[in-house]
Amino acid sequence: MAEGAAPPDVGQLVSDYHQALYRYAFRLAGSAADAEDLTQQVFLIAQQKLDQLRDANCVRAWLFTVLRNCYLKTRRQRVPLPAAAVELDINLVPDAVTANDIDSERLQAAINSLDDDFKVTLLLFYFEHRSYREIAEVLEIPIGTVMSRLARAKSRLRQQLGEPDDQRPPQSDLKLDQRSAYASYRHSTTSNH
Amino acid sequence: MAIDRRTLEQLEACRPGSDDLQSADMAELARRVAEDPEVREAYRRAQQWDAAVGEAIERVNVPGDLAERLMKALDGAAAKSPIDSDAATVDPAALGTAAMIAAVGPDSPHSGAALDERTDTDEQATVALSDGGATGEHRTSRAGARTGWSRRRWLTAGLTVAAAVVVGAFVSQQFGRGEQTALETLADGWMAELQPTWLDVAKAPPRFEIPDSVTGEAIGWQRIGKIGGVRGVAYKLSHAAAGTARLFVVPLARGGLPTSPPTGPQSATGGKSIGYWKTNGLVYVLVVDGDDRSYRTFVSTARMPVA
Repeated sequence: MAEGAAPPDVGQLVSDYHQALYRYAFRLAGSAADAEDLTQQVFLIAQQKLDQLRDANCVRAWLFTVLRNCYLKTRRQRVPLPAAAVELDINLVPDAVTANDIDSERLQAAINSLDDDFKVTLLLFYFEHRSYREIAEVLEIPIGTVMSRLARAKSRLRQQLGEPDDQRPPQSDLKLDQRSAYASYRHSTTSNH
Repeated sequence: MAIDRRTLEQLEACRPGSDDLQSADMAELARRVAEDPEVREAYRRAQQWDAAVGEAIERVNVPGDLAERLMKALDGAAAKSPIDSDAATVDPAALGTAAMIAAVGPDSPHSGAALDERTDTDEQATVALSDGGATGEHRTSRAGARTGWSRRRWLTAGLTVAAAVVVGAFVSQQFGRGEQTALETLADGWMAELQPTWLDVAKAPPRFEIPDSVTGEAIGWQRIGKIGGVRGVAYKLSHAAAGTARLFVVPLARGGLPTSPPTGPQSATGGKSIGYWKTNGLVYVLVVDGDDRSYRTFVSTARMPVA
């Protein structure tokens, strides 16, 4: 889209962005039903507020921001980050890992366990590919806080991804079909201790 | 490895494949990465991990018919604007919620999206109502409310509402507690029972139709009944200003319930606000995804005196 071009119609937005928004919503909300509700809510708002978008090139970031705000607006419960998660241990970072080594269901469970402050910071980093400085501006927090949250959230992810299966919390409502070979990841993790 | 916390936090903040390490904030980390093999190895691992997680995190299966369902919902909302029905039943509290449409959207220049930075909620609410049409009366009454009411009158109205809330809460606690628990438990079961596929609202059983007192756009319906042995209907509702909700309509023999939707939720848990009432032998349980403001937006208060 060219700079200053007229905003696209909402049908075009759905076509172009529904998948990215749904994925983001799923990671935020943790369930397919809530992800779909959130995605729908974003497009309903976009339908009404699209005229406020001055730069059509920013439509993706705008939709992501609406999604984030919708999610935070409906959230009331706070899930405290366990104190253990603040321990930063570089030894938990595996020597070699690929996306295929990461169990999607377990990854989601780890994300679900994060307090919203940490979760949103983490997804700004991973999903929106924002820099620590941009995250600080979006969330209106100091850069140091962003770095601290990122480090703690990632540490939490690594801890949960590295837990043996019998220590995992029960996950009944996640139905992702990407149950990749996590054993190889665990092996690479433990072999580097 | 023994790397200090600050260094760890900095290297965790560098996006994989980016030039974050070259920024001024990271000068010390860059120096250590260049000079210290241990830090360099930690940085390499963190980058590799982030690349893997970043890719894995975007791997989510998207329902094949999602775009179609979204377009259907948007078409429905356009045909009968939820804001329109909100405008027809609005009170000062609902106006506040209508204004939240703007609050939900990005309003920060730092968001990466260049937006008009309109922050006057009254203006936003008026704009939203104007969009919905049939707003002259409401704009007039709102303007009157802003200019015509004295502070004393507002205070009196506020005290009256507060007293009503206190009395209502007391009565509810004394007489309705058992019903509340049972209905919430049933609602939990019905929520879990819901299937992802919703049917065309036009074909919903007329016996279980949505009452006029519930606003929002009906997106679909489905039968419920496996939980609690109660056969009924669930509706999925959407409201541009308040999000989504489920309305359960079931024939239940329950006493002590309100005969119209409560103006505020009877309970709120897990990010959902719940209200229930009984009319003509049918119990209605409204489960709103959101707080009490969202709940109020889904419930018409047109017949209730404002003060």
